[in-house]
Amino acid sequence: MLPSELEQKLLEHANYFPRSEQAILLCLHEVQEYYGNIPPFALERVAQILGVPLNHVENVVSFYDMFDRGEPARHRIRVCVSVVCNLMNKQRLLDAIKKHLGIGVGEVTKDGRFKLIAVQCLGACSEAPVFMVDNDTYKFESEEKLYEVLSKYT
Amino acid sequence: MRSYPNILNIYAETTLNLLLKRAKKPKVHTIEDYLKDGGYQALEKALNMSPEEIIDWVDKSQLRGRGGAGFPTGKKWKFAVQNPAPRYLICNADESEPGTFKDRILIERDPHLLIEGMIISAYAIGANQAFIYIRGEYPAGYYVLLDAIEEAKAKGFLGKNILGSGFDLEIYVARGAGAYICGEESALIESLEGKRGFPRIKPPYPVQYGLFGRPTVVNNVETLCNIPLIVGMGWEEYRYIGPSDYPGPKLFPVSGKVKKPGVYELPMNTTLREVVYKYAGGTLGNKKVKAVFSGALDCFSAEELDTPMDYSPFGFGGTGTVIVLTEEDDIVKACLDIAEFYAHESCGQCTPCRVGTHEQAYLLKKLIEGDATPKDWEGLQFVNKYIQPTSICGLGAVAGRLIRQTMQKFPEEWERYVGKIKEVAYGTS
Repeated sequence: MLPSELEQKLLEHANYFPRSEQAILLCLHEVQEYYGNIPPFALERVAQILGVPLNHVENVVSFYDMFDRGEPARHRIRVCVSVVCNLMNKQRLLDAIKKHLGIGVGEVTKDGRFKLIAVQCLGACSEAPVFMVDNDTYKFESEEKLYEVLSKYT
Repeated sequence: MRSYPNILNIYAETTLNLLLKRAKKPKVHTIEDYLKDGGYQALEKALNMSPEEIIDWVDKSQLRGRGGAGFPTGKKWKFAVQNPAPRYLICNADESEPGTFKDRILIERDPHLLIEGMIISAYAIGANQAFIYIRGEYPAGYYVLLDAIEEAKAKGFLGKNILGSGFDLEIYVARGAGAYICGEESALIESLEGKRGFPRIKPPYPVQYGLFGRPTVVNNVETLCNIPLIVGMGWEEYRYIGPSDYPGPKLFPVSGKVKKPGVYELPMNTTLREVVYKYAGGTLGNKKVKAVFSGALDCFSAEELDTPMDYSPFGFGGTGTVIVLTEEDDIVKACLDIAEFYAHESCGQCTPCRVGTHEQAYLLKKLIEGDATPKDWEGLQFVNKYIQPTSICGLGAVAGRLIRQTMQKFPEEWERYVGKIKEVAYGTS
């Protein structure tokens, strides 16, 4: 059993769709939001709840990019590195993050607060360069604004 | 009402006031806003028509799919209803192509237009269960849709016996998790079944063998948002919007080096030049346009700015995505971004695409860094062509297309890098 708060949400997802196995991505999003990554023990429970074999869950987790089995972090910063953000100089954004948090792509701050991830197009290209912190989407306007945004995530 | 994740204030403008009638304003429009504007009246009208009649109207409207392929929507529906029930309707909201952010604002700002379109479409094709598959990177849109569906249920527009018609419909919202390939309709279906997003070999097409093996219609967000317009005004009037061969409103997400990036709703007889100069305000610093990328699909040169924004063979086509590059930008380096996008997003199922897209990006990077040998350049050109006919799905088929077009249209840009190869090869540098 997982913590009851998480367990509750997983069961809700499992009952949402016509077939329980359809809820696998919703469940995995929930697990990642709770732990800051996808821990192996959670996969077994997801498999039980959805009534599918563990190897099926493994097969799915390893396919989708948003699921992270590396080092956990409380918040993930996703920086778009696609063509438009690159034309609009996404490097300034990466440099500002490096300067403020001391992390490069794929790294986690020492206090486990942030992880920096490079991603493909986030679909807000008129605002490029664009980044997300957890579920929130932001435009990179200036270093000051960036630090202000990041300070909201503790 | 819950508070939504941070939503960006994307600029939107319309000359037609149809798809963006409400969504031009950056706010989440509730069902009250929508009803005040005449919302759900098209649904009432539709439920008094026969499903066959609605399909006929959509067919006569000449609506084409807005997700990129431009397939006639009415034809797709006609194929689906030839196959026995139960059938399913899926809304493809997995918008993930670079430069594309048009469906996002429809979902985040005017979810009831989409929901009304889905209810009418489901009624027309005889589906009692419908799904919206929204990309994982649009969490705000996901929650907006969940709330809007609850609102619609509370008013009797969804659920059992909708408005006393005897028609039942449930709409479920599924989230993706960062896989571009799930925008390919058969991969989307696999993902919605709870599996890896591997495209299926077609035929059979989803209208024959779709979700759980049942006939399934997969339509893009913008396509479905056109349905209430067609039913509301009638197909004859709809045909008067824009050019007679390609009627209806179209959304164009414009980004890159322009003064006013954003989403523009325009008729399809608009030219690319008008989109860039008249609507998006021209280029940053008034630099010369070098190229326009239509997402990661096609490349148009400055000489081709009079291209019409329609689905004709020489039209702009695709999702309508406009990415503007100016004389300051390096085409070959932009091609590397495109190559890396395809390498990253290849699902890995078939070998030509899995290996080919990575090989393409690797060799291109080598060329840009000045490390390429003549063999590498030969290899790049070979792999670029080879992925297309040998891959299972559309991703592999187009993974080399934009890059190949730039080689034809901007030979001097490529020569700057290819020139370096010869120097190295002959030891004269």
